Amino acid sequence: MNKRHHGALIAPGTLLGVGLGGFLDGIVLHQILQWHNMLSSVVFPTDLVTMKYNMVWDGLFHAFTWVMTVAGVALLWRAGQKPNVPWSTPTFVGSLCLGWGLFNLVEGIIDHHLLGLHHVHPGPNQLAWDLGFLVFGALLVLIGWKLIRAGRTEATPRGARPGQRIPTPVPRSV
Amino acid sequence: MVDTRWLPSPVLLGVSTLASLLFVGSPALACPNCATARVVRASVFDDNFWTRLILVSLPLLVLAALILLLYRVGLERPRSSRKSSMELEA
Repeated sequence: MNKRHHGALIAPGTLLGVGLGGFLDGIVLHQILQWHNMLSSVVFPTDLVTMKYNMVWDGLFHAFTWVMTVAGVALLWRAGQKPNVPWSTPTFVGSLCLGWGLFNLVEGIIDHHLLGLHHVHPGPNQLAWDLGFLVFGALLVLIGWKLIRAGRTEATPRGARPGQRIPTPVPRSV
Repeated sequence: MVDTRWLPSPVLLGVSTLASLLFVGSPALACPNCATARVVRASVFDDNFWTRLILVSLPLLVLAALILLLYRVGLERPRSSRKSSMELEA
């Protein structure tokens, strides 16, 4: 008998959340506001050459983010074809939030604090900006986790008739 | 009422605007092989390239590992939920 596979929806949602969070970081903080670039604390973007140098590394970062997004779309398509995956909106939205929050936390801790590749807003208050980035990420993880927990009781597969549920296996008595 | 028969269609208007922009606008220089681009390329693909590539991709590799873990953890439901669904079926 089929076992409910919530992870098959959580994983693509989280991957998409990571991808979209990464794109938002790149578009808003790197390009529109121009607060930092990928390696702007290693090679300061002060002239055309160093700006173009950072632009290449921004591009590579966006390429990795694109790979995460494509993997998310592929896994979501696969999840939609499985009869044992509950098609739950709270689970999916929660996974998106979780992915975005995890991106902020992991990227923030590794790139801003451990490796010092760049900071959110370099300057006298850069630590406050970096910590704010982490707090925002933690908040998103919390919201995402709550939503995923709320969606765990749902058992309706994709395209199911109203009231149709994924059967839960009855534990065998040994 | 205004007679609109003699006005150009939106498609024709769009195509002619694009064409005039292509001809009138000055060409943007992307500079794929000028002196600046050569300096940039040399500094990107120097001895530190692979180290920096690993550093830049490190957060996403960690995230991919975390998501793989989530895929596995998602198989299990909390005890309270499992209990309630068993009660439902009983």
